[in-house]
Amino acid sequence: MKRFLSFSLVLTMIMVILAACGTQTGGSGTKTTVTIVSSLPRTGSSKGQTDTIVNAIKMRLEEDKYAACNGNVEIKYEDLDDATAAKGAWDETKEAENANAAASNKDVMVYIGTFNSGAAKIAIPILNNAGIVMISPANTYPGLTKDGKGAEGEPAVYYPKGTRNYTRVVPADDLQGAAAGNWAKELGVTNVYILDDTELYGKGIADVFAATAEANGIKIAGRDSIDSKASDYKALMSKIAATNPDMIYFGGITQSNAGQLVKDMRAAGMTADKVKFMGPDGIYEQAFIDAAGADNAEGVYATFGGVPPAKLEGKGAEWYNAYKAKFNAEPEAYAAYGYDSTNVALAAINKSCDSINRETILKNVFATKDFDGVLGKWGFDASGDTTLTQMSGQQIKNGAFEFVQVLK
Amino acid sequence: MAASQTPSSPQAAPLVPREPFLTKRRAFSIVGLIIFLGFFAIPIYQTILLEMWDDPGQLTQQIVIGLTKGTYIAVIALGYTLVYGILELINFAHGDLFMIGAFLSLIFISLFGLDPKTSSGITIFFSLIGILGLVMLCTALMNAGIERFAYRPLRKAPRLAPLISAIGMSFVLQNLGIFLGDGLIWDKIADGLGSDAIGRVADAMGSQSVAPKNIPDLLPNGQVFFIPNSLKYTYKDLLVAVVSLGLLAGLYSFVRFTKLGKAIRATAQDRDAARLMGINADRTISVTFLIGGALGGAAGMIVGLYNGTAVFTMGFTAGLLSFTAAVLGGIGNILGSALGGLLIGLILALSDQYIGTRWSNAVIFAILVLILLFRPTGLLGQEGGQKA
Amino acid sequence: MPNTQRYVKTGGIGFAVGAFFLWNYPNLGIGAALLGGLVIAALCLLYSAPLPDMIKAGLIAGMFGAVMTIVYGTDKPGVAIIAGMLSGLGAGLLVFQRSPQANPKKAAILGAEAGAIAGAWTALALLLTAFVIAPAAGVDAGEFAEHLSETVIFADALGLGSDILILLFAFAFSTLSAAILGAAACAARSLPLRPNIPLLAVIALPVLLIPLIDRAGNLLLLDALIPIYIFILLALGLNIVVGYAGLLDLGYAAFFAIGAYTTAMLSSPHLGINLSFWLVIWVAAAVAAIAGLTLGAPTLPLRGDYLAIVTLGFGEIVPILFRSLGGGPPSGTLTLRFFGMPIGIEQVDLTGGNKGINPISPPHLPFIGDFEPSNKIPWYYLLIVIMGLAIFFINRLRDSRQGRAWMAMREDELAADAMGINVVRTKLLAFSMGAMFSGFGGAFYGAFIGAIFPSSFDFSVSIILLCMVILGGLGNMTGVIIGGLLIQGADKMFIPKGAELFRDIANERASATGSSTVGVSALQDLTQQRLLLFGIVLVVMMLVRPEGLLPNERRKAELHPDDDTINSNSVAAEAESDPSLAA
Repeated sequence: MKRFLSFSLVLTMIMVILAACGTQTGGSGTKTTVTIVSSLPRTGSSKGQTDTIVNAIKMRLEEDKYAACNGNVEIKYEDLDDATAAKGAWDETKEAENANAAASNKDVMVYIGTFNSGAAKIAIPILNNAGIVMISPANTYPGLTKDGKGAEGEPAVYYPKGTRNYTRVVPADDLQGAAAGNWAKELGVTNVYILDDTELYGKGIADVFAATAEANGIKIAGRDSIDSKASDYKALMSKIAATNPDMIYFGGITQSNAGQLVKDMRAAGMTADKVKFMGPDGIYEQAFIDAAGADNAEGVYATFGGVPPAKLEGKGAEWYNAYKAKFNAEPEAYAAYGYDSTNVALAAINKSCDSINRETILKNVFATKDFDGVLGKWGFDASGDTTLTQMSGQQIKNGAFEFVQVLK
Repeated sequence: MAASQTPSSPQAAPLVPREPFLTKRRAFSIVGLIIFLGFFAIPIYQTILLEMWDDPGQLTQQIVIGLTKGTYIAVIALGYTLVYGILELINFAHGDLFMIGAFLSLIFISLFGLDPKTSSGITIFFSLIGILGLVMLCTALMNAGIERFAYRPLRKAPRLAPLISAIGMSFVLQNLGIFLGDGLIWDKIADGLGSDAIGRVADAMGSQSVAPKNIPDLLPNGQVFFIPNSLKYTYKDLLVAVVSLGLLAGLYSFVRFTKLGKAIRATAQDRDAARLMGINADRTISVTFLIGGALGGAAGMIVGLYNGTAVFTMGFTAGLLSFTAAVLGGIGNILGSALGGLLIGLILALSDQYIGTRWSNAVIFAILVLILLFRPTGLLGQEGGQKA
Repeated sequence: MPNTQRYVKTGGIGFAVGAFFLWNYPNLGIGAALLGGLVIAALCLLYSAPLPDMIKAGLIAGMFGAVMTIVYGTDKPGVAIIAGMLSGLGAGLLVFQRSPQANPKKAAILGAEAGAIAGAWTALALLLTAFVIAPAAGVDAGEFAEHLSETVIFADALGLGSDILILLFAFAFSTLSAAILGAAACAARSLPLRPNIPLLAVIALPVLLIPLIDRAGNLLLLDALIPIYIFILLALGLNIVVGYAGLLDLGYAAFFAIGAYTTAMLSSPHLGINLSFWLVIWVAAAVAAIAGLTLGAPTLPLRGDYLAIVTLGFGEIVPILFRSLGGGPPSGTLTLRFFGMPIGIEQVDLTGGNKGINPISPPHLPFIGDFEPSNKIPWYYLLIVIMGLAIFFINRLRDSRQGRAWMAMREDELAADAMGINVVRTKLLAFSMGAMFSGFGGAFYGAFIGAIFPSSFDFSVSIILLCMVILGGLGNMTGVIIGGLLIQGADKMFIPKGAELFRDIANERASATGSSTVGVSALQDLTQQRLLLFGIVLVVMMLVRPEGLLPNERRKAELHPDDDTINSNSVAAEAESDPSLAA
């Protein structure tokens, strides 16, 4: 009896819902859709930076009202997460899943990502086979695009089809590390202690810095990799203080505890006037100053590929003001990268209006030359690297990063 | 109840005859160890010892740094040891409770508008004592709540079930840390209430919820010793050590000499027997969690002020180290935890100096294995049993 | 009446949660919030009510299918068919668990009913998706219709033009296949066979069919399923150590890492050695097993949680080692002094350090050629074969003399020693056998991803594996598999997908009211709350089933003395069914 009761209950519910909603379905006009996906670690410790990137992407898309080609193309945006909650960081399998999902969705024509260079190693081959263009706002590992700068066989191993599909808006480590090494020489540094956070980005850039510094005749007082999860570095800083360096270079990002390093460095008696602290663009953000505390961060140097947002002119200045108005915060370096990634993607789509497909968009992204973006006038070279090799040096003064000079 | 426990349960412990030192398995492991030490490690020891000999000043400095760090590791370790002693549960959420403690202290400091530049020393002193009390109260209640809802229903479950529940709570608390660190949420609340104080909290948190937060440097920074270029030891270090040791001593005497402490010890030894003696076991366990939570919160505040940083991942690392400290000293044993904490702080500092920071965690665990080989129940743990 | 209190509690909590959730998404409206709260409250009540077994089994299993359908349904309505099949299978097995039948015919009827309820439940979720959730998430009717015709298999072949027809077809298909599978599963379980081949066949059927449905409907579930299966394989290995031998291992990821790195070093251009995958997978398993022996040896004198912390230590040390054996600065040449004599140790780049090792050669088979990363079907079947073999061997191992020695040691080490069991050998074998299976898992993982990094083998991996084993029910392989599916499914499929869905709903609301999609409140953006959701899933799962999903019957009897109706027969059922299911 009860069985029949439940069956009839279920059946009536179906009928009711069907009857109620039967009128809702219907066709709609066919508009070409281009989906832009981003694959970034949205859970865990990198969330802060990826938030700014995603915000900038959305901001750029909203400006064009999610449309391109005079409204004939509808732009959709999917914000994919390549991290898992259990791991709290990017996950290989998740990145592969995202890339495969993008490859199999015929609407996906632009893949903004990845954040971590390791994730790019997994995504590039998959998307290369699918012919989807990748625009990375954050990968700096040189081996992804450059011959002879990474491991043996790189970068050919990432491009099974033989053609390139990967571009990046950020200059690779080899440029920035070298620029930092030269800047240190100009600043009159003679004895430098080099730290890194053991990550692909941080260690890579610290290696390049070490090589340049050595070539410039700067003595390397020591080299250590820090455990970025440690609660403090008092012992390490005491060790460093004993070697009497006049600069500490840290290859790493804010999330690798750069703020704590500076705090403990100051606490160990290495004040800003005695020992300099320099880092790459991974610490070039307000969050670093927040984390270190304005007093401790005072005097810290940071290098950055391109001109800082506040110093931008023309388009960049407009964007700078718009961003500030919208988010009530200083735009970060990552926001600029994310914004310009979307910028070139949209420009390429607008150039491909006649035949919207992956191939054309890929071709047009690579054809980006003298593009007037927020980072300045730039483009991609044949290997997909940004032509923006100009580096700038910043220093924290009065609790904010200030542009100091252009680096060579 | 007793039947559902695993064989390592302490009830069986007194029956275990003392094993001869050189059992077959210990022989196995020692032989392996000697091979390892002989071939790989001697050159490393040699190098380290020579370096230590070369610069005794640096060695002393590192020992001081390590011991100071050790005192607060010990305070966190106490939370693990208390809970383990009474429930045999590795309370994975404890490290994250410690993190919440750091966040709460930052929130209260901003609410009170404490600033090392503008506030007077006396205001800071009394406010900090008040804040310490508040933070301890919050985390204590939170910990007792967690026990009530996530662990108590699992009292009779297999021993490992509450472990998973604790891991789950650890994730929940981490997310709570992200929420507390989200300046945008605080901004909205501040706008809604029109409150300046909450606005200050929003400023302290910044716009990135997961980024590390800076806790103002409210502790005195002067040197204790007046000889220039000698040992660096600030009043801050001294204060941290004194407060931590005070908490340790307080807890030890509480458990040792008060009636409630006796109830805790009795429940830890044998819950059913304690119940027969008229002890309300559930209440005693709640009290234990209250104390553990208060200690975790206090440690969070101490470490937050000492290192000047609060970040939502800080609980994991600190938890791992502290739990290791608790095991090293003999889990369930309060003095053991203190000893383990000091030892781990010391090893960390020395390893940072002489071996390399990235090896420090490996060194800690290697030494842990070494010590447990010779004392399988930790430094002060009872042979055969696992409780204080 | 203790039951009344229970109903009030579960219903109230359910209503509160449901109403809060829906209220938080204002485009669903207050009415929807009330209705949703009521529905969820009703579900909670149903769960705690003493309903007939078949309805209850159908509802519980159907819940899984319904969640899967809702989170995937907006983009891929075709998932409902797979969800229906799986929940039907689950319902069939569950209903037998609750009221075992001796007569296959009766069992088939019971299973069919439970399966049909589960399937219909799933299909209802599809309708809910079509008419409520998809519009709220910004997918308009036309778009949804497109998704329907793309992803529902057979729809084109049958020439179903109208969307309603396709929906109805999906509904019927899901319900019917669920009923059939439920009937088959229930009937097969009632057969007094050992090993129960028909039952295995019934379970294998949907598992083997999934890739084909996935391919036909372009559902892309395999990308998420394969990593889940890899983790289940690892959990099965860990189950030997923790479940059978009772040794709490918190550093199991170390062996996973060793297996994966062995594979990477032996079949990639990194060291210039490029052996075939079919050879390397055995080498990796052997290396992992040897590592299990070596790391197990120093832990022999330790017990309980002291063992746990030492294994945790190994789990930390091994990734640090892999990270640091990458050569290059700062570890280029290490100068040490041996009794005053300097020794320079030139460090070789063994592991690639943080760069990891890539590319790792994929397996190669005649006819198929190299396994392509874009085509997951061969990978899936290869993994199924590996898992099938692993399950077979672990099962044999458990029933062997060695397996019984493990369990004796787990129950009482001293007594086992006294009965003449060689405890040293037994422990070491448990460690090395457990490690061996993670070696297989690691080898497959390396080849599948094509690149490995030291960060993949963190402590969190060990912890999640342990959760899978404990939730499943220590020592029960079927339980571990189901626990693994639930936890990994939650982490890799349901929570991220569900969070994205709710974020879409919030965004749609924002764009409908004209405000910016950028400032969606943190409370509404569930993607920011994945840690919270995952934590709650772990806690709730443990509170609901403290003894694990499929515990051994003695513990269950201790824990639920008052569940009289269920208990009396389920104890009997488990006693006989457990080995046959895992066979």
